[in-house]
Amino acid sequence: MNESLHDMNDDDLLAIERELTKLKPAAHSPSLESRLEQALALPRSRSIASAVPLRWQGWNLACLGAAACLAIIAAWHVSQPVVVTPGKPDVNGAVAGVSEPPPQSLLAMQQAMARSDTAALKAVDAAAASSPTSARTSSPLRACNTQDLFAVLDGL
Amino acid sequence: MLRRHGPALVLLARQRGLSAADAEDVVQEAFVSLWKKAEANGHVKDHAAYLFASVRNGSLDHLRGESRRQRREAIVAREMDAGTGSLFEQDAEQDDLAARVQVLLSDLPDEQREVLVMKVWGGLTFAQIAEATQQSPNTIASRYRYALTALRGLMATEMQP
Repeated sequence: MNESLHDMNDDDLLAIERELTKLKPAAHSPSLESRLEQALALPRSRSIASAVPLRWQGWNLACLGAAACLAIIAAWHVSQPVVVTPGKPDVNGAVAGVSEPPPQSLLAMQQAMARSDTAALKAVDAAAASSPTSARTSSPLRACNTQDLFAVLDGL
Repeated sequence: MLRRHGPALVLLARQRGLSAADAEDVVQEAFVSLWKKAEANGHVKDHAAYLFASVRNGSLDHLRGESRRQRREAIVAREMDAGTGSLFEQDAEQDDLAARVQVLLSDLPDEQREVLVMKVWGGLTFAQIAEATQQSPNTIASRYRYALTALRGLMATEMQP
């Protein structure tokens, strides 16, 4: 490969090349340099921010905003007093003024207690009926003497 | 780098027929492209060859489209009339030569003219021109020789009475 006309062994062509090299291309306008500086400065400043791609920056901002909104809503909700409207279910599903039906086991226990109370009351009533001071009463309280009751209260 | 290669790059674009403003736009885009490529890849094998290739391809892209070509020719014609269309520096001693070469260059085939511009005024080696034009170095050397031979013939024709 010939890098110059010296290797081409052609004096005429060499002379023409010399003539051409006497000419200098017209200088570019001074504004090209400043325009180029501006054009290169723009992507350079953008590249600092583009360490994280723009689309990820958007997603990050959106996620942060959504999380902040949720936190504010949660804090506001917790700070609100619980208002229970009768007849309407509260946040737990319970209805004010309406007792929940007890579980079957609890119901059976309550019924058993009622039966034992009845038996005890019957036993007390039977004892009272046999007492001479309260022969007319059938209630345990009525079976008690008033003075005895005050004595009990004083002892408390 | 702009000061070193800028004038030859503008000349390369203008000898393709671009106006001075369009040629500078293409050169600016070539430098920005080089900067982005260097930033993305971290390495550009040959900056000069890359710049000349970018200007060459950018000029070709710029010329596409008939309406754009007609508008460009009108701008170049106005620049020539206004005396601002010279491809070379205005020098009292070289004015005549510059005017002659400018006319003769326009008679050369595009592929020879671009090799001449890159070699003589761009200072590129045949290997660099080959890289910029995606041709073999031997093809580039041949085109260069053909270009000078053609210029010699054109000059001889000019000298004849």
